[in-house]
Amino acid sequence: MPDELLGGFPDLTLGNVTMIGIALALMYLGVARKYEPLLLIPIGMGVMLANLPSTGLTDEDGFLWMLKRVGLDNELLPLLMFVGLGALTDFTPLLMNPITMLLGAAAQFGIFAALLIALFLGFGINDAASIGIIGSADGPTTIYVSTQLAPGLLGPIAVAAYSYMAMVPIIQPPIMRLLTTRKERRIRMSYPSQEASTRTLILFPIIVTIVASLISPKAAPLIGMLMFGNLLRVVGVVDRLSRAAQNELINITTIFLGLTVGSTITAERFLDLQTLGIFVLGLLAFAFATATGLLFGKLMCYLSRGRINPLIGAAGISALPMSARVVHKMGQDEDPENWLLMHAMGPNVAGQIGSVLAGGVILGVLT
Amino acid sequence: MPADLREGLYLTGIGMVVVFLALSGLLLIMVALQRLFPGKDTSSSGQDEGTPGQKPQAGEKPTPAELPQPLQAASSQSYGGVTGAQIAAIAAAAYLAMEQEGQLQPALRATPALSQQPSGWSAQGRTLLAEGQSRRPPPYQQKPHSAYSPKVGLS
Repeated sequence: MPDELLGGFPDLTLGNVTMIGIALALMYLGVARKYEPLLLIPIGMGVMLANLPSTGLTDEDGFLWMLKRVGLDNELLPLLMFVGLGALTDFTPLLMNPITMLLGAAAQFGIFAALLIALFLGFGINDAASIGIIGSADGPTTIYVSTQLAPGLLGPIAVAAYSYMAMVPIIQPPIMRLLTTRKERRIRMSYPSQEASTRTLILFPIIVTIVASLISPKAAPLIGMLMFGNLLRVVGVVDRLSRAAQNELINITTIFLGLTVGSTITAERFLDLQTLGIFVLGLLAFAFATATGLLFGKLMCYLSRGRINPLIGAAGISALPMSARVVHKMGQDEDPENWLLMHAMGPNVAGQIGSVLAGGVILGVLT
Repeated sequence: MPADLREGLYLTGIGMVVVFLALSGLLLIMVALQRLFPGKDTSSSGQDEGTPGQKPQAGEKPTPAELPQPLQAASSQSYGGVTGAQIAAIAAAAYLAMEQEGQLQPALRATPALSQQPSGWSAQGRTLLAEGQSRRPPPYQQKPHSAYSPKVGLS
């Protein structure tokens, strides 16, 4: 019998078996629970493939190694993902209610709060910043920043980020109930009386790219690709490109990004106390981001004499569009005729821009 | 204080300030864009006239007073305990149900009892057979249309 046959069994370790179990758990969450299935299934498969012994998939010139080299190490895949995300994002709710931009800024405090706690716990500054960026609730930004600052922690950080994004409907509501009164949650917001003009929609991504890139040059690749995707969507003359970005590009990128990120999660890197710390800190980052968004929402509610429902502050984290839906549902639980969805989409897309800027600032200071 | 913590605090301070300032700047740009290139006004005349200074609320049903004159009369009038608005809602629901039924029917006709067929092949065979039976055969000595004439040739 050739040596290769049944050759995997002698090399199978307890760590491999545990990681395969984790991979199956991730796939189960995606398939049965529908928690971010688009990402958790490729990530789960990547984890499984990377932890099967003697396959050579993650060795030099192996398939997963090659994907990582050409797609992740040079940040190509997160950036391509951003083109698709931009093409899927509608900035109209933000343009209709620009003041909600500030809620997207306030919610970024979650990143820095988790960073400070991680530093207290003894993580190095680069590791702490990569952990903190989980609080941006923005997968590609998290991967982009972690790849540059803490490539060794990329796997657990990405899994924590996507897991918590899937769990936004579980994480956010208790904090929202805790920090707002029933009366505040029942506030109905008025709808703007004007639509955004086509010129405004086209000029917005161009201006944001220029301004954000001048302020934080390290954020230029992320913001540039996000806004490029959005420009394809709004110009109205390149429907084919817009459709390709919204479908084929983002789907193909998601497959490769998921597999590649999964392949970085191996037993020796994942099964230690540090990973547990990353998961706890990631959860804290989400909680702080939600709380600061809500508190800023309360401030805006007070200053606007009750015209702004503070719940929409929780949508300042850029878990798009999940957190906006949670806000809407929370509002409707108190008043079934209160339609907050479009109001919550404003801070939600502002959070997307805010998280990219925060990531750019972190990279600018630390690299 | 450890150097890392000091750097973390600095990063937090500068990060939040930059994010707030940048987004505030973008906010001002958005307001300016809206002023320079105003979009279409979407507020309806009825609502504007009804409550000056108050914008329409999300999920708010229009009261009869906010409706245009002919609708106002029809909406508030009662027909044996049922208001005009309720009748209109029933009519709209019935229309939508009929429309859905209309969309389903052609699909049902196109696949006659496909699920009862033992396989797709036999279903296809039956369909072909049914189509063939419904077509008249060409009359005797009349050939089906062909672009090729044996007398003239292909030119």
